[in-house]
Amino acid sequence: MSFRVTDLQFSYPRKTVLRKVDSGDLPGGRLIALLGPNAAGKSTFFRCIAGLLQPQSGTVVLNEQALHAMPQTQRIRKVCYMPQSFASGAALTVFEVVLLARKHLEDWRVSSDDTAFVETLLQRLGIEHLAGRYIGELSGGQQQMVSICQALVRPAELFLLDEPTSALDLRHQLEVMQTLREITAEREAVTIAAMHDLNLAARFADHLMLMRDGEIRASGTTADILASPVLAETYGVKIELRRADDGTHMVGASLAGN
Amino acid sequence: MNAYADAMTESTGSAMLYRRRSRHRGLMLLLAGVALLMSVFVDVGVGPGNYSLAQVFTVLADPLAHGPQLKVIVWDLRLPIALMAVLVGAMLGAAGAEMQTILNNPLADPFTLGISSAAAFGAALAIVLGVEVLPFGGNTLITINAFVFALFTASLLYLFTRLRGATSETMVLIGIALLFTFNALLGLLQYAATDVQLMQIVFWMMGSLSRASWDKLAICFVALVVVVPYFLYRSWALTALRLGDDRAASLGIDAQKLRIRILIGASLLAATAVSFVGIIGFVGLVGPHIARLLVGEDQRFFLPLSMLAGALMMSLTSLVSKSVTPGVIYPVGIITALIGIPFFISLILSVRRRNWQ
Repeated sequence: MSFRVTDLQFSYPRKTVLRKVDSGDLPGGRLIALLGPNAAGKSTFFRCIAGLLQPQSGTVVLNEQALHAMPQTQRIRKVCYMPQSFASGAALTVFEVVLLARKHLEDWRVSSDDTAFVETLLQRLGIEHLAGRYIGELSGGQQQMVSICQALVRPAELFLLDEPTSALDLRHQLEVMQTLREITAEREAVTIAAMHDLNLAARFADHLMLMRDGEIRASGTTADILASPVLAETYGVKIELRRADDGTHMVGASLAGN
Repeated sequence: MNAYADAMTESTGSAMLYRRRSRHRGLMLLLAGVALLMSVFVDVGVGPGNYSLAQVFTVLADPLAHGPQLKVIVWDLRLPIALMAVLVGAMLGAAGAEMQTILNNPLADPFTLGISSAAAFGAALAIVLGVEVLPFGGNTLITINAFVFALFTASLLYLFTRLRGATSETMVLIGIALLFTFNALLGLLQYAATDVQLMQIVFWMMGSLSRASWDKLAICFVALVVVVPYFLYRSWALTALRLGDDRAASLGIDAQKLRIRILIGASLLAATAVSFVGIIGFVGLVGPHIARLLVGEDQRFFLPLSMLAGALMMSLTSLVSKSVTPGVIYPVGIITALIGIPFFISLILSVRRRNWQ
């Protein structure tokens, strides 16, 4: 299991978003955090890999298969991209929304395997009690949990999660990251999560990628990247690294010059 | 085990709850089907002429059982009208359901995008300029003209959305522009029309089932058989569309392409319905709302129930239209609006409000 993006370039007619993205070899079964300031190109990067945007050049290789040369119908089975927002007032229940993501590429009928799979996943993310609720009635955090379920229910090999924890409370952030880490290891999938919370990334990610101005500035194991001066440079802040009692890194940031 | 624990074991298992909900929704479809069947029977049984139900039903089985007069009444008048009500209701229900889905708008109905005004304009054009000139039957020309203009609007819309990108906002805005254009053109024709022609235009626009015939039934049936299976085939994708374009795209759905294809199907249904029976409001709007209320928006249930609800509404309307004043059959378009509006308002007041954002 491995994943590699080489020379990815993407521009809108008047604006270059991705200059020349090289991810290096990314391992399977590990949780990878994609970090970077706002408008660094993280979402565009994901969309290009998922085939929602057509990059001007570049290769995307997943498990020795060239994704960029694959028709979209085939690619969508291997790559699961979870967009940021989840706002819908549809009269659909949480169970239906999750089931939908699993069914729409397959046959029309719902089998008991399908429903059992959805049930297990809802239990695992601790939102089974919401199964019968309409999605429009949920809070932002609950919708985000549904969105994560909707991504994980798909049998993909590569998961691209755009800010999976941005609307969650502290406890749910930890639970979701823990679950993501476990599921990634179980399925030996490649999971890349775009995030803003450095402490959460430091605690749960095995591998960090730093992105800024449409380029990957650094990519490597969590400990290496946290210790590197590129981190502070990427965000334009001062970074102070500490170790908690359990050995995990804690990142303190302050504005440079203070 | 106490009652509380029983209740707990009863309610756990979201998969089981989902299956139970699915069975419940299947039952709902069945009930609507039975209600529709009963309504059609009564619709055929009742009408001017004071024949007993028993007589009418014998004639259904054996056309000449009670003489040629009753055969004509049942087979050439009542049955086509009753079935036309069902087919037109189903067409409007299906078209309304999918228009609301692709436009992401609860106010959308089969005629939202100017299809009805285009059809009315086409009909008026035939009435004012063509009917007395062309030799072959006037009504056929009106129907064909209405149909052609309805489809012409749909293709204009298709063209514009191809140029500009088929988001629901563009579609609605362009649809409104087309609506006003055809309304203005219709006004112009009405201004130029003679008194007799004006009356004809007004009657055409009211919507009436009395123009039903077996040929038209066959055409409606074909339109349904061509379009509805495609809608059903794309059920999952259409359900996903309600989660927003972005999310649909992440699930591998080309929202714009899907929207345009569904638009073509829905336009075909709406154009066929409007050109045969005139403008019938509210069925295509309210039918899907009833369905959404009862089974939610899983298209595998939502679409069939929208059709059944539309068909049931039309069938009941047909019944009411000849029962209010004995001997008089009111245009159904008036009845649907009169019954539809209070019903619709009560629905708005009672239903969940959060289904649209």
